[in-house]
Amino acid sequence: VTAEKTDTVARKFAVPESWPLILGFVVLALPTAFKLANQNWSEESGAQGPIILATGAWLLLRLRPEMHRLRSASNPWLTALILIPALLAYVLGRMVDYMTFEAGGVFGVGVAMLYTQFGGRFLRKHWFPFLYLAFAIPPPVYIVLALTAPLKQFVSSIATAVVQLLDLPVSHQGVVIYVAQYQLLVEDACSGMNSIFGLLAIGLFYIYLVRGASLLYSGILAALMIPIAITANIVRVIIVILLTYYFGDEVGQGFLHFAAGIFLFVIALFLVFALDAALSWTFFRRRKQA
Amino acid sequence: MISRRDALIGSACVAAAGTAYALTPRRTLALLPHGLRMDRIVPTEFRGWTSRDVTDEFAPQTEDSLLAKLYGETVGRLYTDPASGAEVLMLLAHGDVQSNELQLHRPEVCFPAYGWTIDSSAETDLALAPQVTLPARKLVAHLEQAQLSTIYWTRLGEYFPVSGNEQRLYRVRAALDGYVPDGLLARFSVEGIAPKHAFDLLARLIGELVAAVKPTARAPLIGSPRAGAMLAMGR
Repeated sequence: VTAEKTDTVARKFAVPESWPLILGFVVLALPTAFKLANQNWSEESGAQGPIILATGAWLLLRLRPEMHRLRSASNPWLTALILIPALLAYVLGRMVDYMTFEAGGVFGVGVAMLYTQFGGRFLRKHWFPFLYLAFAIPPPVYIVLALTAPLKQFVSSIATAVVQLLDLPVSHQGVVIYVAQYQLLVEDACSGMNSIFGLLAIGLFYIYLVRGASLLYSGILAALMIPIAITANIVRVIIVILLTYYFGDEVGQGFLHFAAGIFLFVIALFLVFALDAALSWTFFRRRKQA
Repeated sequence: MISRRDALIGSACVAAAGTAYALTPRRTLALLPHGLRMDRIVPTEFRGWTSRDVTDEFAPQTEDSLLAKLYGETVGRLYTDPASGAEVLMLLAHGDVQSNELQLHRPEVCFPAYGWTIDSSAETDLALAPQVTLPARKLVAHLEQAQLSTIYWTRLGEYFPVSGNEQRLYRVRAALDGYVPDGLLARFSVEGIAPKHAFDLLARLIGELVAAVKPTARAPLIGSPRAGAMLAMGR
């Protein structure tokens, strides 16, 4: 019993003892966090970053008892295999100002540290917070660009087609929509790219908290969130077209433009919740029977 | 007690942070002098070619767009060939600083994003003067019935990468040299002419255009060594 007791006491003090790890991580992550806050998070495309980081950190802190419960030996070679490429990516990323590498490097270092401290059993069981936190790494700009442009085209043509059904004088050429005497440019922000990332992050977080980590179930819902986010954006563009047509340019570009975006994001989120409620009923019941 | 393992990992992190700090370039290298603009350097009329400005049609800049963030200046011009009447679209995009968010987008990446299918893509050396060539790329792309032939080059400081990999490599190389380069994308395209003739036309336009630029102002367009060589030749 005493041996067990000293063991528990030792474990309790295990965290402060690993201060070199904490210090190393802070020294790496702090400049990156500042740069992210200045560059990426202040833009609409990166606005979900700090929220993911805060909620993801909370998920991990919440799992602290689990880290100790599932503690297993770690392989130093595997630690090195994660740590060294992560540090190299970090240095390269800072050197050429490539955020994906820099933030990805910090992420990899964090994973390597948790692995070396608590072993593979914890990481295998609680993979979700890590996947979730990976959403805070800014994706490569050229991938975002390659996805945004066709999405903008798609949103413009569908929105125009729907409004044409109402017999309004509307047409589009590429991403420029003409309605009566007005000309609207569908901007990058209207493509829905940002709301896809935002909705995926919040949706997955919610599903994890409510349903736990099921790869299949999370995957199915994530796949359904993408068309929901795109549809919400098409509706947003339609609303802006109608506002412009009936109330003029000022109203279409003013507060209501912004409000329509927020409102539709909330609607999309509720759609995800409703979908989850419907889907979980069949999904988990069938699983229990099986 | 601190475990040796933790100490090792911790110091590796601190060393990486220090290395990153030391290797981060702080100087900038811009071939386009501050305050000068590409649209002033490149002439609107020369050797019979005439042009009209189409910047707003082909590169509309809104505050929020990626384009505005990527490039400090974009110029769109439609040049008309005095001989055939063919119209060539020139797009120049210049960015003061080439970094993560701000980097040149190569047309072979951009065109497919806008629905174009790339039929062929090949490196080429444009002859500007005897023994002065410019590394560029030739592209043929189509969208439905339209066929587009393009010659373009990209400049990163004094480097002229002809592929995405080379562009990334040169960015690292410039960083190791200790500076952040400026960047230029110069793109010339013509529609509705068979690619073979189109490339002849584009090469002729580019040659005559570079020759028509004031000899001391060519560096932002073709790099200092080439500009210097042409100047020495009295061209």
